[in-house]
Amino acid sequence: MFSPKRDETRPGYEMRKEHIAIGVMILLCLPILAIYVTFFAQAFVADGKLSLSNFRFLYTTIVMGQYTVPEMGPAFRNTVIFTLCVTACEVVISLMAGYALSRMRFTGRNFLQKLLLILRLFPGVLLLISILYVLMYTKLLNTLLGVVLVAIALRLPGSTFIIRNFFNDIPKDIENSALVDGCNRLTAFFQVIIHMVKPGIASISVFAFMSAWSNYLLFNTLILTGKVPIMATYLRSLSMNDQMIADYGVFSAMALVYMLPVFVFFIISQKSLMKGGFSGGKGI
Amino acid sequence: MIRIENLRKEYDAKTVALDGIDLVFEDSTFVALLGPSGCGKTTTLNCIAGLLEPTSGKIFFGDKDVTQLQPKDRNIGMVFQSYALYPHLKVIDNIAFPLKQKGMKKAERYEKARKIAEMLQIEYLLDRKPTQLSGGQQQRVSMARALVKEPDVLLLDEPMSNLDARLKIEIRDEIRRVQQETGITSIIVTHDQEEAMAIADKIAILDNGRIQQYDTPEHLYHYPANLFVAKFMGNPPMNFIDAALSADGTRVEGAGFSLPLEQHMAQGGKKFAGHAVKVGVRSHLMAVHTEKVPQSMEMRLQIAENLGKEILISGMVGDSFVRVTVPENHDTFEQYKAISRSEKPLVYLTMTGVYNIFDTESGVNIALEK
Repeated sequence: MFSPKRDETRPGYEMRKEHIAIGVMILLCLPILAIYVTFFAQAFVADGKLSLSNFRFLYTTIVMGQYTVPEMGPAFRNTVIFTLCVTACEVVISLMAGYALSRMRFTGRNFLQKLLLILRLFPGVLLLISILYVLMYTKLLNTLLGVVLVAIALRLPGSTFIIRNFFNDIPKDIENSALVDGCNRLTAFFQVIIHMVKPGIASISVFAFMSAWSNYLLFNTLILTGKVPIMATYLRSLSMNDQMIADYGVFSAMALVYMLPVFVFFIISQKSLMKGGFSGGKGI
Repeated sequence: MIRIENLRKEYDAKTVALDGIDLVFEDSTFVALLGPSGCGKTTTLNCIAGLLEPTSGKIFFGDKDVTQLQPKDRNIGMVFQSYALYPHLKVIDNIAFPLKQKGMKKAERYEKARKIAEMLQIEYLLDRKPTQLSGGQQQRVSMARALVKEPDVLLLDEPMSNLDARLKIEIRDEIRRVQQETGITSIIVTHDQEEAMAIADKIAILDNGRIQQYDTPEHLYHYPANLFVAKFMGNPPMNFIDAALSADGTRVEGAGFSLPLEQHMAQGGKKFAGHAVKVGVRSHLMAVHTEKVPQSMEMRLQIAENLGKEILISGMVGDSFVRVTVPENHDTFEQYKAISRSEKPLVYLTMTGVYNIFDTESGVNIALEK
């Protein structure tokens, strides 16, 4: 997988160039690899031995000198709720919006499509201050709901745009065929159309999931009390603590737990992510 | 019976796709909508299917006005150019899909799907996905899906344009066979006149959103209603020889010829007396003579080609380019070749069958004038 297929018919100069390219790639990957190695080493090594004792925060509180590490439970629960809400809402809303933009003709459609692109150009960070005021005004500051709404809103233009392009690729004939075969627009959508944008749904849900799971910025700025901890802010609060900073082992173990779902989700969805489009047979 | 009354479709103020279409499709007939691209034939079909809403006009299935009905309530089967199979479903589920929408039980709809698959000889494909099928197989599956719900009318939107030439003929015969077996009123959209001639009981020729002629294939071929139809139908295309009607409207006169009008053209001849006309004649309905004969046209022979089964002779009659085909014969071919190289390459053409005379300005066939 890593090295190119040995093929005797290929000229030597090409092979040499390839070897150089591989060498450069390995060199560039080494520092990143080193980080991961130390990271895993710290997580699984305690007191000079291979052990899982760093993971004991999963079932108990750890007392470290004068400082007690709070339970991970609430932070974990909040993160899961946040991620599921954001992913589900983002996928559902962008599916509906994308379908409408792709298939229906209404006034303002072009304007909306352009707006989607323009909104994607703005980094979300720019809007944070104004968002803060909006949340204060609507009394949603320091609540999970507020952050969920903001997170969905910031990501919607991007995913709507992506899914719209997937809808655009579906031949009109297929939809017409479903209509002739006895569907109305809604049943045609659920029985036929949605199956054809599966790769699109996979890609927006992966991106939504990953960005929601690792969202730190919004929680750090929009939750000013410690009331709604999530994994990211939980980890940070630990790393700021003087006593805690000494134990990188526990910290690495926590980070590993934090990383795991993203990893698993990616592995599950990468097959349909890679598929992309539904080319295959001609005329389909 | 399906009746279309004064159907109009405007996409916006400037683009008029259909400009008052009137058509009647008799029960159990196979009708082809034929025309160049952009003529409105697919728009007409989509209006019949209910996929497009006409701007004005009415569509009747029998006595029922279906103009405002959704496609699903019209009981139609449709075959699309791209076949439009559902890629996530197996072939049998594709075929059974319309029945599923009607709420039919699984066992029952599978049985029906099997039966229709048998008729189209695709039983062995039922467990595959559409992506695993060839173009011709996809075509058959899409036919099966259209037929399984026993529709009142079968609509085919250029069903063969994605197939190679040999498969085209095979599928064409297959469609014709299935249509005759089931007796379903069918409408096919095509731009291929040979396909339309072969498959249809009647052909409607469209251009610019209007019906140019609606008739049997034989009649269309021999008596085109106007210049457009005459140019569109037939391969090689009809010859058009510039001429004029005499002042009394009894003779047609052109460069080097003067022919009396036939009996059935007398009425039209009077009406268009003195007009510039084009004499339209099929290439195989003329005879070639090497000597001048009465009532013949003089042609300057340019090329004589041996096409195997026939000899193609082309040249000029006055300023009009004319092609004539005569049965293959080695001696005559050599003779024509010799003439074409001679200093005076003249041959003489006589009509041996049907010909038509079109008014140059309006394009009307004066033979059909009553």
